[in-house]
Amino acid sequence: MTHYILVDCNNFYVSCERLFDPRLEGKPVIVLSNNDGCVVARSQEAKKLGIKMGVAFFEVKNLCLHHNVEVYSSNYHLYGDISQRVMQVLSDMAHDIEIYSIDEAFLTFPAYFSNEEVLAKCQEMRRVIKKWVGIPVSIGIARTKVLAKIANDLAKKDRTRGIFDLRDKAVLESVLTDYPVEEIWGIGSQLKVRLRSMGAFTAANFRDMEPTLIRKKMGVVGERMLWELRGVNCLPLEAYKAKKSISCSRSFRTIVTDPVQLSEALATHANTAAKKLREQGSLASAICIFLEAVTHTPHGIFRRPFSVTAAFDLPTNDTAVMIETAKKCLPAIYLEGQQYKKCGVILLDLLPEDKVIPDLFYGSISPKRERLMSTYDALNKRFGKNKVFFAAMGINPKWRTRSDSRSPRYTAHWAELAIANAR
Amino acid sequence: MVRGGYRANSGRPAGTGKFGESSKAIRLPVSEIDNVMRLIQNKFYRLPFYTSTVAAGFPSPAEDEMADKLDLNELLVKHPTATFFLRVSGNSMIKAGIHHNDILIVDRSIEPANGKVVIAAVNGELTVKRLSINGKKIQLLPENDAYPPINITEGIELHIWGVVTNVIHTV
Repeated sequence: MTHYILVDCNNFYVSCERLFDPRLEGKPVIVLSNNDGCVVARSQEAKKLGIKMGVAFFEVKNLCLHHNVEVYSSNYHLYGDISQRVMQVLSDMAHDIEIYSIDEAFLTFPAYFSNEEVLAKCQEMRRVIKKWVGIPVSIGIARTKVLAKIANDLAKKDRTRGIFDLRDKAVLESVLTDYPVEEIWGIGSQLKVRLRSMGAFTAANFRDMEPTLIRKKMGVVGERMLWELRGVNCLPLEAYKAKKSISCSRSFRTIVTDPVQLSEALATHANTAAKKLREQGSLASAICIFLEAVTHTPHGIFRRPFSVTAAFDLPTNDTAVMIETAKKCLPAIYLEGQQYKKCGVILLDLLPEDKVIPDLFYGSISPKRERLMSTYDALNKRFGKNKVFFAAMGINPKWRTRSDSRSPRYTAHWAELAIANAR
Repeated sequence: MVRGGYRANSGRPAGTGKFGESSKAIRLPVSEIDNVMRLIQNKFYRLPFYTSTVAAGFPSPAEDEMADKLDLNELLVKHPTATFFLRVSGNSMIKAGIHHNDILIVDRSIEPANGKVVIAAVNGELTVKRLSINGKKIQLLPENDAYPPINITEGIELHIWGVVTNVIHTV
């Protein structure tokens, strides 16, 4: 049987920060989301202080001051670079890989590898990633993805070894008997309630239920989960697919009411999305712009979404066309007096550049525009992000995302390299 | 109904599998499976790389010669996943040709050994020094008489971060 493995980086963002700043070793460290809104990563020490994942920063600010917690804004330039290195090592060593998120990947080894060989490979991966890239990882080994996820969870709890093997029947049985059903990958709060009402409290309870009954109550997704728990693989690795839609959105630093600022923010997001679109070699057929307004009432905060979608005359990857369309759409959803907290664009109905059929009336993309866009990308790549930009994006935007305490972009900017002291 | 055996027009048509041609089962020594699989994957999944898009007209006679350009990465970065750049601050390594503000190329995949210039994490800082291992005596040596060596005695935690392979120095 195929060996399924889940590799997950331990406290990934914190580990990245520690790599270039050894001072942080052994100290409580947290990383905040965009706009420094909430806690998205915590070191072991910070977890012990009771700082929960996803809490708003202001709720734990005093606790952090009191315990000298090191607080960082997200540094996606750094995390992205380190993630790529980890994934590269993994894809060099494994047979097949599915990169599941910035810090997790599923791997497989075919059945002709013995259990011992796979275990040895996992130990080697863990050693190499720690030594070469500098990031500690936990590894779960099992016979299906759902079981590998459980194995990984247990590997994290046992940091001394960092690897947990669920392929042994007896080990698997004892683990599933104790494993709470709601902690299984893909079981949300709704499914948890439904499963409990059917008498399934542990993973073993769920596994031993009648598959046809589960199919009736939870659909094919639930039935697949059940079979995966029984060791029957129903969720193969997924290869990289070009995205079907691309979105870019950010919360504002403060409330925005001015349509000019909204328009600048939308143009900036359209610019970023268009760049991503060109990178994957696609064209978009339509654009959706959205705003989110907040209203404070005595009953709490209400979020009101506004959105509008417009189709392009011709599938395009031209930033200018996207900005123009976004600006034209804005008046359709802008309301004076609303307090806007967030905005963004989504590019829809993407198709590969080479699959586009020229339109009888609109023709096809002019080679001149194509050249302009590739020059635009090349300039920004060579001289730094947004060195050349569209004036519609605003010259000194006030709405920019806040990241007050970001660490240097150690691996992405020559001016921000880590310092090696020779004193 | 007859069980087993050949059934006319069943299965997918020959040559429509993932390899685009007929395939055949073969017997292999287990130890060679990995190598053979690698070979097959390279053959079928690696895309050809063209440097020319000339559709008509006379092709440039220099085309064949132009494919190779010197790439500094190839010379200086042997293990891209393990290589990082760091900026030098200070003059303690001047006799090793490492000056203030130089850029160090650091390869974390190389094993630190006696005599290598290394990046070490000492007292929460990354520092560049020459590693000296003499029996049980471990030292981090500067390359400048004005600086004292750092003796790694009990109680000092030493973590070798990486090994310096090259220096980029602006003249």
